[in-house]
Amino acid sequence: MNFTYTSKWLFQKIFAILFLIASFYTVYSLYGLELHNYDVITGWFKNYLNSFSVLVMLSAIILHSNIGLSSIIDDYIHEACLKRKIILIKNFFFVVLFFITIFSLVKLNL
Amino acid sequence: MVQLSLPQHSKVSEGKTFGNDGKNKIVFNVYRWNRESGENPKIDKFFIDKSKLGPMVLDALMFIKNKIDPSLTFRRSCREGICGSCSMNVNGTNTLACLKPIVGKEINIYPLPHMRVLKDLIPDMSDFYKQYESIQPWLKNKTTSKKENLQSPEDRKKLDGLYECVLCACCSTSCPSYWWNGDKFLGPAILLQAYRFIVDSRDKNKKQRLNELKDKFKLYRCHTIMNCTKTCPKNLNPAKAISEIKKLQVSS
Repeated sequence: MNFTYTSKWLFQKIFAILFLIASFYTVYSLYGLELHNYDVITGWFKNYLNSFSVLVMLSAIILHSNIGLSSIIDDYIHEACLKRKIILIKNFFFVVLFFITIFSLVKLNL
Repeated sequence: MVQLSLPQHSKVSEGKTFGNDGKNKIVFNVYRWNRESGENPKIDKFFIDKSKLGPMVLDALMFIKNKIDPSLTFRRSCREGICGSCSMNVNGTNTLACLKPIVGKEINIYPLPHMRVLKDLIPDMSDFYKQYESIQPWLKNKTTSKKENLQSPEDRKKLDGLYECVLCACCSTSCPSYWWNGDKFLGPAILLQAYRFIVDSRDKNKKQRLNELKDKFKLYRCHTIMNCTKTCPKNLNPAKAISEIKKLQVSS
């Protein structure tokens, strides 16, 4: 399979499924905890499986929305120059968001 | 950017009124536009006694043309949903006027949406036909045998729900993706036809056909909105055909 728009379409579906699985696990494992207690929450993040599920969930959201937004831009923005600029801003935003996610999870686990 | 509001010269105003309201009368609001007049489009009102009409919207249009206003322009041919000529927007839904029964006291008739109008209810279908030509809608088979090209009943069954398409363009012109990107997105009608040739066992060009559709605009502007399936006057399912093409793209 070439890395074409077909791959993007397929990955978007896979990321949506990953997001669903990870979010179900996250909600399930948070169920019954004292969510307003900061120590309980940071303690929850110290468990590597919990942190991993949040990482999978947020990465899936970021990648899924990145592909989805590209599709919306392709739909509605027809001027090539404007489209390039918007895609650049969008990619920058998602890269920053991804690094914030990693940084926050690493910090919570240290 | 996509233009979301109507340009000034496309704004529709009130037109002429033919006949009066009364008991047993139906009002037909018909879109009228003549390039030569240089005026904006208008909606003409025709009050017609229901007892004088046949059962279908096309009967009413033919009554108007024959008895009231011969300048009314629309396409029609077979009157039984086979030719696909009389496709138009009736009461907000794209359909074939010959298959749409007259129901209710008021009927609004417009040309197919988001197409250039040539006159009254006639849209310019030339881009649509060019797109149809682009998928090479004929069987491609290199064998030069003079024998009949046979097909098993199972293979023939795969064409059911595909070969019935009459290319009326009701589905394509109801698709928002086709409205925004009609120049690059092939639209549901053409993609249904493309799938018809992809799954035909007598066609030996499946791989090339799939490769030609491997484009983010030709195929992947379909976001499964399903307007095409909802509006199809022949009860076909173009959205399913498109999703089958996508599945074949992944597995090929």
